[in-house]
Amino acid sequence: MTDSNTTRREGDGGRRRFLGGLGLLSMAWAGGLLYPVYRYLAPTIPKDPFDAEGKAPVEGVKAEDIAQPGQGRNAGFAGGGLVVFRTPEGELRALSSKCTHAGCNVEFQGGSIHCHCHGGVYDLEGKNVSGPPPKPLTRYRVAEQGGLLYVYRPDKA
Amino acid sequence: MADHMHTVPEEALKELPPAHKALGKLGRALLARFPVWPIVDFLRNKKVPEHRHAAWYMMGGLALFFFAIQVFTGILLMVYYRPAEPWQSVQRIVMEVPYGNLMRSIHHWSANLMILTLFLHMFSAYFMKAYRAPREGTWLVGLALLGLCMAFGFSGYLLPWDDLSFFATNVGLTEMEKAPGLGPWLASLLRGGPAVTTDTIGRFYVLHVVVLPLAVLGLIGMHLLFVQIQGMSEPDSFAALPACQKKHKKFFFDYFASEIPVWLAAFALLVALSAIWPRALEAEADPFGAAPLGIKPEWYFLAQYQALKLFPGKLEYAGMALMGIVPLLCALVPFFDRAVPSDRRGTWIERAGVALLVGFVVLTVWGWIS
Amino acid sequence: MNYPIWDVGGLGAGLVVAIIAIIHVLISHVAVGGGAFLVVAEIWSRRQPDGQRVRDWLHTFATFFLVYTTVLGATTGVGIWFSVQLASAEAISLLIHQFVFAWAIEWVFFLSELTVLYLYYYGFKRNTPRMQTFLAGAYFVIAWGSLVVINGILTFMLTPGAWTIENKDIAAGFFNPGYFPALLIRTVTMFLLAGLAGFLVASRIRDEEFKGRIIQFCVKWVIPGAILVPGLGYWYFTTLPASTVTILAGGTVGVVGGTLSALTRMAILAGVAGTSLVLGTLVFAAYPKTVNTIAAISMLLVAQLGIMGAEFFREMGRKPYVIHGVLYSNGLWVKDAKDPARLNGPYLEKAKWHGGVASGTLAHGEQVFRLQCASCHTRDGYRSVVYRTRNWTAGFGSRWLGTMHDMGVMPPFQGDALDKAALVAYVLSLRGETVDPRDLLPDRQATAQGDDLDPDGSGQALPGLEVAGAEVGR
Repeated sequence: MTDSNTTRREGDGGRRRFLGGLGLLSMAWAGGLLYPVYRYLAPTIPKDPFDAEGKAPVEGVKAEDIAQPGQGRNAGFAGGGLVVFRTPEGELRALSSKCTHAGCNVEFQGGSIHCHCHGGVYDLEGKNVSGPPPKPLTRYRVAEQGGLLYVYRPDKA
Repeated sequence: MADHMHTVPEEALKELPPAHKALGKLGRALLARFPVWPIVDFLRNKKVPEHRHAAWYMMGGLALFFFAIQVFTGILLMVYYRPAEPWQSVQRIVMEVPYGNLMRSIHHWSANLMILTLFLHMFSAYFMKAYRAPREGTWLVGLALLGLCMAFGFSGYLLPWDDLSFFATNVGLTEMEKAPGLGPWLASLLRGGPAVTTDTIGRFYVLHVVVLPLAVLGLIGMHLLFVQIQGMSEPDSFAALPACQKKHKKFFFDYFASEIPVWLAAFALLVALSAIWPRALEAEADPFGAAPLGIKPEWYFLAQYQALKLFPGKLEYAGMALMGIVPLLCALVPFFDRAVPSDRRGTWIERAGVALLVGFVVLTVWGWIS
Repeated sequence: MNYPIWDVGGLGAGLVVAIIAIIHVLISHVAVGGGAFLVVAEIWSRRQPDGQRVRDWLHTFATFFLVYTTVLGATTGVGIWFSVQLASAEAISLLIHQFVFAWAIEWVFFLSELTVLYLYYYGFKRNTPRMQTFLAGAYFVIAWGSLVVINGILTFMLTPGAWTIENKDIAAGFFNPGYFPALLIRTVTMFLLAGLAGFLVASRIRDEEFKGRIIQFCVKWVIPGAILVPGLGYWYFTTLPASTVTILAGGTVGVVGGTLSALTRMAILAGVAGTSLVLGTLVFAAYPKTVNTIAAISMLLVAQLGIMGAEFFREMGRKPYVIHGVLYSNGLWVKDAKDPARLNGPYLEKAKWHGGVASGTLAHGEQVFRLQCASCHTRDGYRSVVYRTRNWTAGFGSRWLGTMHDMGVMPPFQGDALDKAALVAYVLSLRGETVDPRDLLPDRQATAQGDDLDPDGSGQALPGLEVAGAEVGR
């Protein structure tokens, strides 16, 4: 019976270093095995919501829902929430619905856009006019095709 | 308990690294708060007998290894599996999620290897007579574990909700229903009604990820505790040797060192099977569709399935009685077998064991090829 | 087509070759690497203070080596000869005719290495130390020579390089792009495997101290190979033909499903096998006295699994050829396939071993199956045709046969419309549907389902339309 790991002998330092190294190597190996697990769990990078022509379909609202000036509603597309409306002059607009303050979804209220979480207010161009929001809402070019609505990738400023 | 620090025993102080080293400080700090040195000392000196049949001692640990893989990959699968959309979520795992196919295939193959190892573990314990006093409790808990692991297999099999899952589960539950007395009631309870539906998935899912894991983990704990307290069972020829001739290996780390390569090979086997034969996902289950040709249960149920086929018509009850008697006899073996030396061949207990093993293998192969 | 078919029930001829080869490859590499092991061990043993005890162990190793390599190795090696000739006589005929001198050298080497090994073994106790070392060295050189030669022929099959059937440039064919990477991989692997064989024989030593020393000696043989092989494998991969890479890079598809390409799965297996070998061997190095036979067998199993994986995926990429770009697996020559007159003429007039069946019968269809499909598929066993055509309708089958080559893993269909119809009728008959082949001819299929790619409305693509890479056990 060999007493391999209780008494400390001469020359054991080299062996202990080897064992220590082996232990570290094993842990590194086990860590390496976790790479596929990490890839499995890691959220995938969302695909570009815009197609080859830079267009993306809007879901949750059809052209007929906002045919009249002053109509508007919350909707969305693959890249996030939208507030889609028609200005009193009849122009069709789409803005990101994500409030730049803390991320709540804003609401169209006829002449302005409000965020109910902390009272932020934006005008119909998306500019932050009152309350805590530090920046304007992202604006998307929107067009109608065959009764459905599409937004376009924002041009780089 | 008294509200003070404990004195670290003399012996512990000698064995720990010196007090100026980090590990030494840590060891002293822990032992002063948790007086567990007797347990540490016990484990330190744990020994495994060395003899001709010692290789079989590895089977239990190997089964535990495969079980650990099941828990790990099972948790991963649960991240993306949705019981309300069973087939679609499994398809997503297999087709879209990075390495999803690998995780699922490993889960499938590890289940099969675990049950195979469990059978090897049970039969080797049987033939080495490890069930004898004082180890009757370990044996009974072990048999219960085997049954629960087969229930794991049965419940998990349905979850992908493909053709194969659905019809194999149906076949299994129909057989269960035929059992007199409790059969129909139990089948109905498991199914959540008269037929296998998506409601069944909810019940099987809860069984598979909560109820069975709790039960199995509890029983494994008992099983391992019993083994630690009682030590490894020794064959009579070994036990009869004079003390100086009995060779033992210290578990930490000599025996463990010889176990690691075996676990590495088991892992490599698992990865090889998953890489070369990934688990297929068949078409989504159609409860009204025709069953696929040649549908049969998974291999570990084939022996019973084939055996029941041997008892047609009214003889079915005889077949089922047999299915019930065999596990019962297995459970009672420790109470029959007392005096005969464990190395002797030819007693009726050995013969019964050989008959069971041969019968099991023959029926399984027969079920496979028919 | 030019040769009769070896019809092996549920396995198929190819699988028989595979099983024998997978067993043989481990043995043959141990046989060569073990030669180097013997030489080094001979020299090492003379330098040990307990030289006699070491030599006694070496004699045990040599006994194992002799039986393992000259009995099992020779049996499986000859087994390969038998099985490959039966599985693909056309390909073997080409290899023999092109490399007749190489084959002759092989046989000379086999004969000499066996002779030298027997002289070494039976003179173990009587020969002088110099003679023993010389004999072991001679054995290794000759055995490695046999590897050098066979490697040319084997790698030629997948990467013929500048050799064509017109120029018959044997030198270019022998020293083809895959030659040197494969030679290096095999040479490194054989030292690794020799070390593992050493572990196995050493694990039986009873004296723990002595066992520890022998194990340490063997450790040095294993570690370098286990580390180097994956990288060398990558080098080999870069020499593979484009169509092979396409097949391996395609995901597993259809109902097997999955994003993992064959390439990824092979890399995972190679990585796990290689690292497990390194770790396991390092544990042996740390605890040499504890190495038992089960642990040694486990390491051999890991090596076998890695090799089996490499072979499996390489074979996947070989499709549809047996000699890449020259000869399809079913005996159809690529040059014939490029000539529409030869490809689309009536098959029974070209095939030699169809047993004189009447045209347009189920028997006709069966012969088409045997001579064109059975080289890779069985009826309902391995790579089951019944399984793969489970959703087929009659019209779909005939149309599919015309486009199956586009999948990348199948040769083009050889024959005319009647041949296709007969084959489809035969395939349908395997699952119990009786159809008269003549009813399947295009002119009678007026009410075809159009290009119905989903005739049973299941919403799933049919197996026949899968992209290359679908490797299922069935």
